Amino acid sequence: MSAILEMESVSKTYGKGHAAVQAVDQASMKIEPGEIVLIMGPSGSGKTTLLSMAGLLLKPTQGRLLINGEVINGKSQRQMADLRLRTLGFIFQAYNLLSALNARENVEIVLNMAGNGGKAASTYAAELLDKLGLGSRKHHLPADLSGGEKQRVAIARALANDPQLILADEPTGNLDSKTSEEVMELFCHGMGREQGRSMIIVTHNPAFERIADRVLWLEDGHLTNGNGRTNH
Amino acid sequence: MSVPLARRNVFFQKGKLILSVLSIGASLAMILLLMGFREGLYSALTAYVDNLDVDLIATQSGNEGVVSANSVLPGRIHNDLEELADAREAGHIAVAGVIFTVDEDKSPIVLVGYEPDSGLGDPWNLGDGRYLEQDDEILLDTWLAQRSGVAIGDTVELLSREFNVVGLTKGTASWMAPYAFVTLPAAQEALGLVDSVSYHLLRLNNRANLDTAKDAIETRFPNVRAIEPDQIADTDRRAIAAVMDRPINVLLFVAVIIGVAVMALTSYTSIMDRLREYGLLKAVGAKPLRLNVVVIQESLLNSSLGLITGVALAYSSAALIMAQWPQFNVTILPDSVWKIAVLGLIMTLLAAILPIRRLDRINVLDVFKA
Amino acid sequence: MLKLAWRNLTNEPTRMAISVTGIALALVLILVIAGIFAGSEEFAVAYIKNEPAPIWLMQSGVANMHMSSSYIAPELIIEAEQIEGIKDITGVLYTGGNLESGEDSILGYIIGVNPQAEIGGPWKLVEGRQNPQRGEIVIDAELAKRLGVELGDEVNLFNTAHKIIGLSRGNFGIGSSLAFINKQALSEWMAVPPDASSFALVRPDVGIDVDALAARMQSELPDLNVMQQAEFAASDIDLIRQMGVDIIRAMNLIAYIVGLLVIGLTIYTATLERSREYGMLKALGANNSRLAVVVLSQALISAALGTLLGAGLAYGVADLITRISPDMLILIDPEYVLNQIPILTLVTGIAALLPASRIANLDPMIAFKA
Repeated sequence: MSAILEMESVSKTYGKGHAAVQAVDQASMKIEPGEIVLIMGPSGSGKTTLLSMAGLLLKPTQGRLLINGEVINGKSQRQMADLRLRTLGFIFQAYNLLSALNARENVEIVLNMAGNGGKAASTYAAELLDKLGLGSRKHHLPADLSGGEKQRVAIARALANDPQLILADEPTGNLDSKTSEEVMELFCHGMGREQGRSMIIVTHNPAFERIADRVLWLEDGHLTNGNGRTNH
Repeated sequence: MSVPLARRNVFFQKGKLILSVLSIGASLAMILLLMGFREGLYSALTAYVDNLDVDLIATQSGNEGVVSANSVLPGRIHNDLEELADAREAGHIAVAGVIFTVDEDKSPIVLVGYEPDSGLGDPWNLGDGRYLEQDDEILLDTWLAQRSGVAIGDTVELLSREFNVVGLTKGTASWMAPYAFVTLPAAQEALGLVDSVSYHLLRLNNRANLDTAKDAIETRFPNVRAIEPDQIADTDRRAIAAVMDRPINVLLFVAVIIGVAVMALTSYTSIMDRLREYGLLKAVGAKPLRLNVVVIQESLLNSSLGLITGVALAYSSAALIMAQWPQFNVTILPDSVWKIAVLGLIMTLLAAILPIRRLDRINVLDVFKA
Repeated sequence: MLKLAWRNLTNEPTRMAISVTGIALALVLILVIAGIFAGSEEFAVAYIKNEPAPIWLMQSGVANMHMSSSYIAPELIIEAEQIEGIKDITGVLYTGGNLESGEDSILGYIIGVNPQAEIGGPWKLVEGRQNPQRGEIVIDAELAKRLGVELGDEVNLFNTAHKIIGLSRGNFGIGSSLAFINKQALSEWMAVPPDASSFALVRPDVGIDVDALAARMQSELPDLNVMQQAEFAASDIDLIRQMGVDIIRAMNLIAYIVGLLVIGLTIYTATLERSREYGMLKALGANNSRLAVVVLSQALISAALGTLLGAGLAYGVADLITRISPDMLILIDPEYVLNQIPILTLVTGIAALLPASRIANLDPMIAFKA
């Protein structure tokens, strides 16, 4: 089984000439099925840029990107969007729920985008929320949910289209320690790791290390494995 | 999509929704009111002819309107016309535009001199008072009388002659030129029409044929045209339209641009409020077309609500305007509503261009901001 | 606080541009409609102002030319000519008529002039000659363009072909276009004696006191109304102004309501999206009045920019329209523009009420929410 995600010497440079900034420099990584990989590093180290490239939201300046062994460089925006929809799931620090939709609808909408509509989508969205302990909060708007509840809705949304890879950016950044623990538990046991679903988690929170299979360190754009050696 | 995102977005913030719908409604109402004003102006000007219960009007050839022309015909051909047309009733009227002045208030009016005994050419809706009996009497439009501070029993001056106000008419108001009525001899004397009239009015016998009557008259009197009232009204409408349509169209054009600006403002504001959310949808894989569809749906929803509000506003404003200012006849035709609906659709689509372009430029990486 | 208001507005330049445009267009509507009436005033009195006749005679009880009828019997002209101090009196006939060419038709006033008369005809000729004989006509050059005709072509008037023998300038206005034909021919058409007139133009002898002459003429001619040129022109201007005042008020009301809603919508949505910031300011100690000043400042800035843009656009639109359609002169009086400012300020204040009250009800705790 090929790696879900492969980055081969991927770099990202912003600007040109003297003003050029190398946000990520020759980063390489492979994410195998079922792996939880942490990316840690100081602020401004390029973590968001790396995650954006992994999430097909940003095109690398150099290097190759592969999803399930297929080279992604050169694909159109439309194809990338489709890949994101069906292969990837996203969880953000700021939750990014749609304020006018209730919890169920926030999950259901990504199902609709993938071509799944009607009652089936609605039912499935409700089931996902039930599994995450939000059965009684399905019809609440984001404004009426706590931080932890919002993040669980975001998790349900990320899982809706059965992605192979989930990308999480500081998923507990806005949560208290107790809620953070609950979310980490979910990541460990509730995200389908056993079924081969992988995760990349960008975080400052060292508590995540206990659930990770690998820890990568990003500093000044250079990606190394946890023990300081360049990651391959 | 099964999730009605556009509908949810539109109805999420009630205060903003109300303002948006009111703004769009007001701008569409403005367009409807302008169209209604135009239609009402023409109806008001042709009201006399529209209410003339006659079959044919003999007019001077080349002067085939009442408001827009000054027909002059000899009075003496009256009997010949009656006979030629096989008419059971005939009458004649003098019509001219004059200025009615009370103190410093001036108002152009259409003065109609008719024969009270003939039963033809008289005002069709007497609100107060009585019909004319003497040559020194006058019937004024109710609004004109109110505006001038004149009541039944007062004496007014017209063309240096004094007339007693004996009645007030309804349905004769117009900001441009309301109608006033005197006897035919009074009008002839005041207007210097010696043995002349403006029009002959004919009511035909049941057995008479309209075309035969017209031919007979026009053959016998080549400088006379025998026309049906609605043709005269049509001539008047076209003549006035040739004058008034241009300035009204300028105003309509500006009003339409205002409407587009208001719709654009509503759509654009809505997008900007939710930029981050649209960024999120893009990030998780929504195709641009799908998002554009949501924008258009939101715009259409706002515009539809705005249209309903606008139509309601327009009709109620029209009623209010006519109650408060009877000289303004605002006639909003169902046809106009359909036109506005189609126009509104085009305006909505035009207005959606800016927000769609803005969506294209969304930086999806903003989803990573805390 | 003013800086904050400016920043809040300019943070979204596109939204600001749309809303300023909306306000500007509402002002354009107000200025254009007033400008149309002001322009039509100019055209309506052009004949009176440009004819070199310090004194005008008309039927007693008549004090206007526009939308008016007047009849002066020949013997009254003869009587007037006997008065000492008069160089000459030129009588003209005056009626309404439709000038037609093919499908096009323009309603205007027809002036019957004697070919030998020195005055009473077009005051500025650009081509041809100006002494129409029977079957001939002088029309405005722009009117000729509108009808698609040239010197030497024919136009229809009163169902009779008239050959264009002269093209004039300054006689083409909405509802007040002038065409000049032979007086005798027109008198036959109007069924009046050839020496009868509608209006008479009086030129005094050199050195005669015009005021004294006019007074003397009035006392000696009680069956006529004697008016000096400026007074006569002012009378027509007054008439048009009185006709227009109600429409202008009605349109202004509607336009201001739309403007109010546009400003209200912009500021309200700008306030909504900055709720957290306003809450934060409240948490830091800013009181409601201080924040209301921010909101009001935003509204006033939008309105001020909209006013500047609107005034500029209005002049541009007026110029453009007059170039395209010379009969539609739109005159925008700078004083009238300035007079709108207090009303706009009031409207802006009202528009700021809703967002200001929203801020007043904001819970400062919003600053602490994630």
